[in-house]
Parts: sequence; C-alpha cells; structure tokens
Amino acid sequence: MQRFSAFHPLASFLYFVSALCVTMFSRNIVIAALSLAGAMLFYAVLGLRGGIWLYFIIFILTALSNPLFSHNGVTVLFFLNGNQITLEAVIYGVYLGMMIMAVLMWFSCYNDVITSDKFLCLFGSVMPKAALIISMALRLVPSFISEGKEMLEIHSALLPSGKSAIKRIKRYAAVFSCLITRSLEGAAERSDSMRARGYGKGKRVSYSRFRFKASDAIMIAVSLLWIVFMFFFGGAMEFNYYPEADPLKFNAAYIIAAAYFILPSLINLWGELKWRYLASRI
Amino acid sequence: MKSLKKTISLILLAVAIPAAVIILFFVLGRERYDIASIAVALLSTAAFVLAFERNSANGRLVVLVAVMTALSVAGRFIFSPIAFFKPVTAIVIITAVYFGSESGYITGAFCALLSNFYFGQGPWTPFQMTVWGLIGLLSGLLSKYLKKNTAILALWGGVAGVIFSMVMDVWTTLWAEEGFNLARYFTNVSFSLPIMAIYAASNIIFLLLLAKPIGKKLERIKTKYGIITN
Repeated sequence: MQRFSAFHPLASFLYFVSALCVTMFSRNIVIAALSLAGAMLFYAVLGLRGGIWLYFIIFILTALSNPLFSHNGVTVLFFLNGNQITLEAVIYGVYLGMMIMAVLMWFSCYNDVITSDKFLCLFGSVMPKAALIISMALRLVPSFISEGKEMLEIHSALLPSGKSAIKRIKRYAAVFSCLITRSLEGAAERSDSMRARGYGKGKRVSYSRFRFKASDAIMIAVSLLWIVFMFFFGGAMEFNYYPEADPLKFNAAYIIAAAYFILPSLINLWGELKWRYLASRI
Repeated sequence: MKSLKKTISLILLAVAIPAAVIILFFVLGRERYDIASIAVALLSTAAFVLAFERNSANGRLVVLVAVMTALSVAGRFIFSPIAFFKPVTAIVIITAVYFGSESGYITGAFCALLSNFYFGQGPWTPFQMTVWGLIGLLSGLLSKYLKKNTAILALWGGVAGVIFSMVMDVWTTLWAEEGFNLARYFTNVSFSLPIMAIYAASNIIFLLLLAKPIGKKLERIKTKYGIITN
C-alpha cells in the first residue's frame, strides 16, 4: 500500500471513526495528547495548511475559558472576582482544548481522504435512494451556481440597480426564484428520463472503482481490534480530573495508542520513501 | 406492506433510541450525555432515512429532494456577496410545507450533509442533520397553518433559526464536560447570539420575499407532473 488514501473507503472510514470515537470519548489527557500529535502529523503529511491558526485559537480559548466556568478541584491557584481558579480546572481545560483540536484536525484529514465519491461508495449499497440524492445533488450544485451567476450578470446588465442593501437582496431573490423555476422544470424532465430507463424496477447497482484488497482487511481488523481494546481496557486508563487530578502514570496501552494514531502518517511516509527510492533508481 | 415497513422504522425510533441511551448509561456508568446525544442523533437520522428508503420508489420525489438540497447549497454560494444570507432553513421549510413532513426531514438532513461536503464535515454533522431534519418535519406537520399566512410562515422561519442555533449550543455544551453546565451553555448562547440573530432575520426576509413565488412554482410542478406526497 502506497498511501493511506489508497485504502478501500471502508477501511479508511473505519480508521477515522475509531480514531474519532476514542479521542472524543476517552477523557484521558494522555490519549488526547497522543491523538492531537497523530492528527497534526497526518495533517502535515497530507500537506493541509489552512485553518491551523483557527485551531490554535480554539485550543487557547477552550483551555482558558474552562477555569472560569468550573470551580471544582482542591488546589486553588488564585481568586478572580471572588471565584476560585483551581489547578484541576486548568488541567481539564488543557485536556478539553487538546481533545477538541484533535477532533477538528482529524476531521480536516477525513475531509481530505474521504472524498464524496468514497462516501457514496460506502453508503450506496446500504441506502441507494439516499446515495442517489447525494450524488445527484453533488452534480447539480456546480451547475446551479454557474447558471445563477449567468442570470445575475444578465439581470444586472438589463436592470442596473442602486447599491442599497434592500435592492441588492431583491435582485438576488429574483435571480434565485428564476433559478428555482428552471431547476424544477429540469427535475421533472430528469425524473421522466429516469422512469423511461426503468428506475425503481429491480435493484440499483452502482459503479465503484475501489477494490477490496488484503491490506484493507488488515486495516479493518486493526481498527476494530483497537475499538474493542479501548472499550474493555479503557476503564483502566480512566483519568480523574476532580477533585484532584490523577498523577500521570505510565500505561502500556499508551504505546499502542501512539502507534495507532501515527499509523496513517507512517503509511504515507513509507509510500513516499519507497517512491523516492524507486524514482532514484530509474 | 408499505405501512408495515414504516412501522418497523417507527419502532426503531421509539425503542432503539431509548434502549441505546439506557444501555450506554449502564455500560459507561457515568453521565456521558455527549455519547448518548451522538447515538440519538445518528439513530434517529438512520431511522428516517431507512423509512424513506423503504417507501415505494417514487422517482419524482427523489429528484425533487435532490434539486431542493442542491438549491439550498448553491444558494449559499450565489448569495455569498450578501454576508450570512443562507437560504438553507427557508428552503427546508418551503419544501416541507409543500411536499410533506417526510420530504421535509429528508431535505433538511441532506442539506446539512451536502453543505458539509463543501464546508467541511465535523462532529457537528449528525446534529445539524437531526436539527434541520426536525425543523423540516415540524414545518410539514404545521403546513396547514404555514401555507395560509405568509406572516406566520416568516415568523416560524425566525423561530426555526433560533431553535437551530440553541440546540447546536446544547450539544457544544454537552461535548465540553460531563453533565450540563448552565453557565457554559449561556456563554455559548451569548457567543452565538449575533449569528443567531442574522440567521433568524435572513430566514424571515427570505421567506417573506420568496415563499409565495416558490410555493406557486412547487404547486404547479406538483399538479403538472402528478407528484403524490403523503
């Protein structure tokens, strides 16, 4: 396997689901930190750039705001407007910020890896009607946008209006209404054509260019094993923040967690190295 | 046969969701409202979508829902010069009023899913799907009153904007910690207040301007092509 995104959609989808579930639900500060590190690494490996500052801002806001809401905990640091600011609340805030940032970054990676065609491949067989709606709508959106822009240009060429906000809204509303007429008529024709081709008679099959390979089965097994493992041994990793934060203890499960969270980055980096090596020998 | 299968999804809705919540409560043994809320959102959306799948294959309705969903997302791009003017809720309401509550739920849920293909999926996706779906469902149930009077329709659009924002804030609060911290919730609400106000106002303006013309078009399509809705 050269790249993580080359896995079968089911395998990569399950990986993201398990990584997200564990990150969101474990409440363990080490797991959250490992997950954040794994997500950041994968984010960098995928070459994603945008939004990283926003995530840092969310992290800082979450970490700072928690002590203001939560006054539990026994180690009082100082008083602010008569409310105690506790060390435990600060630690929990840092955990919360890391967890939220990790989830958001895993989702950025998800959006890069699980493209809409993969999503449709996943759900097309289980929910054929829903998948048909999504794939049809995905095709219609860009064509509606270009039609709408064309209509806006025509409208403003024929009826130049002022700059006032109400006039502008009215122009957009008129164009949108026009677009709706056009698209509804198109919809009726589309459904007639579907009926002529026998829609609703028999099972729908859908084309998918993804093949299920042995490596996909391994990936799925790893993801499922990991979920089962966390479900049964997660209790041993329970971390209490209140009234007093638990001391950080080493747990062998953390090594497994770290390996799991950096797995997609390793797969991508390994593929990259292999490619460089092969290219250098040409 | 059709009604039997609808009953199955109703049972799923009425039994599976409470069961999942109770099981989660006992297995986890703590106040994990965040997990329970995700389970409820996913299960209820699945139940509605499955009920829709089981209906007799009505090709016209499928295409109409696809078109309305695509329009709501395209609308976000077309209206982008006018900041914060997003026609999604208004389109969900109009679709529900003219094509019934089931189409309303499906359009609402798919609008959320589809627009997140463009603006990024996140942990919020299941909740947006559920809340927009429920807004569609309610609009379908209230369609008798909403069809009669544009002012009521516009008011409902404003209310729906407020409901959407406040329910999403409930979820943000649940996610942050175990239990429900009221102070945190009100802070979240106050942070989202300006956006909520713009949403509600844009829904009202949109429905006042477009409910009548779009309604006429939908009625026309319905009679011209004989679309049967429940």
